[in-house]
Amino acid sequence: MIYQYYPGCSLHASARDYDESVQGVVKSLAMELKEVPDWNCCGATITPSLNQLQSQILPARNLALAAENRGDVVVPCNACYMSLKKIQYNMAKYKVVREKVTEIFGQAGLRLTGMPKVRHLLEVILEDVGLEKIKQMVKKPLKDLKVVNYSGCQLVRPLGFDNPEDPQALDNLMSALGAEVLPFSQKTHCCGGSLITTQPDLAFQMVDSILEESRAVGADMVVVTCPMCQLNLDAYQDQVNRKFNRTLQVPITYFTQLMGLALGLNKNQLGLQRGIISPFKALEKIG
Amino acid sequence: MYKDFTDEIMSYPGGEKIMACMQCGTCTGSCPTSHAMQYTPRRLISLIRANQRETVLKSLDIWKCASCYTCTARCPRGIKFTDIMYILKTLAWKDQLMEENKDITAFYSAFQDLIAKRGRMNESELVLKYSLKTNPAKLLEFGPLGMKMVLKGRAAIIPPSIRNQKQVQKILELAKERGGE
Repeated sequence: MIYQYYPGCSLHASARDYDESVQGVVKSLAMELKEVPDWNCCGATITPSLNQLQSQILPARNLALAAENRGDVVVPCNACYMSLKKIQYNMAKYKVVREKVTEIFGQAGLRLTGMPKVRHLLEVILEDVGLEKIKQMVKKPLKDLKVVNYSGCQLVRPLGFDNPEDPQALDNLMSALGAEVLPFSQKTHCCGGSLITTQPDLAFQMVDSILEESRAVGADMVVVTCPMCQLNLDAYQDQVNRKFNRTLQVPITYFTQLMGLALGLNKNQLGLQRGIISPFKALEKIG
Repeated sequence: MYKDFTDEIMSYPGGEKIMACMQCGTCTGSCPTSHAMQYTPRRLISLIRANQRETVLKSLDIWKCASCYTCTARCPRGIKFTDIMYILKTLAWKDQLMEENKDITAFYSAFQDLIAKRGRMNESELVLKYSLKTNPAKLLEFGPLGMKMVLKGRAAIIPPSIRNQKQVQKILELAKERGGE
């Protein structure tokens, strides 16, 4: 199947490992991703804090560009996914938003010719490929690997495809790949990603409670679906350890990286060497 | 013009249900940062309805919202409080009412400037701009992490750009001219 790929800014920089594993996995699944031409930043949580209309118009431009082509828009980042879905929701619900976006587009040579469906990559893999087929494709089960699945916020709230309090998609996928999924009360607790630079004291506490529970339940790693969550939990882990006097070394792995391993892809194709906390020791379990 | 602050909030997408609040406090109880707020989500709704515009918009508590949407998902009256937090922040920003906080002002404006300049974000340039706007000594703090990111191939050395940057600039300017509303 052909899809349109909206990688979002992180996947071209700090989340290159995510992008690499996405490319590997979709090839194995015979999905074709074509990047939305000339896409722009969705504005994340910053633009909506500064200017309401700018926060509508930025993601709307991406939809207009995507509407020129065929296929659902597939998004690997929770924050981009939510921004794109939210402008769709607002345009459908509020006439005033529709009119203003259309008027500004008219002056800038843009036109929204349709409304492509926006879906998270996890959603697409589960719905369009399906667990049964994935189970059949597993070449190297993630046997003995103990994981906690961290969906984060914007994959499931407010417009997500899974249960906003106790999402199941990631659990089901990881079980299908053979991993042992541990109970995890923090699966949708916020990691504080949007506050990490400006108010680290607040965010560090949020990161710490997620990492500390993952240790307490005996997880080998935390599985994520979002580049913001990954960066926050991985790159800041040392600083959080220092602040709370801990010695945690929990690898934070993208679901696509583990999926790639289970489907028999080479470790080096999946960006696993890019984790600030290396996952290789934990991955020795699966050989 | 608006009748009062409640009326103003209700005029924005996402703000319309604020009158349905019954002050149950589910929002505050669900909020991961309310422990650090003087004015918690429930109290903010109360203050909005008491027309305390300046008190609310001045407070840095509204900038503690992490956009996790837990309050929105749980509110028994369907109030989109995360959206209301966004509305409050945009009003505080526009009217320049917020209490001075260099870190917040510098980071948010650096991020927004970069979108206008390049169309896409890159963390390296964002952190550089942010540090220069606040305290260049911050670069020393970010240094070790930045180095690790570079070594792992996770930092953009060449800033990203898009072909039709003029178009992004134009739509941002037009939105600004319309007061962001």
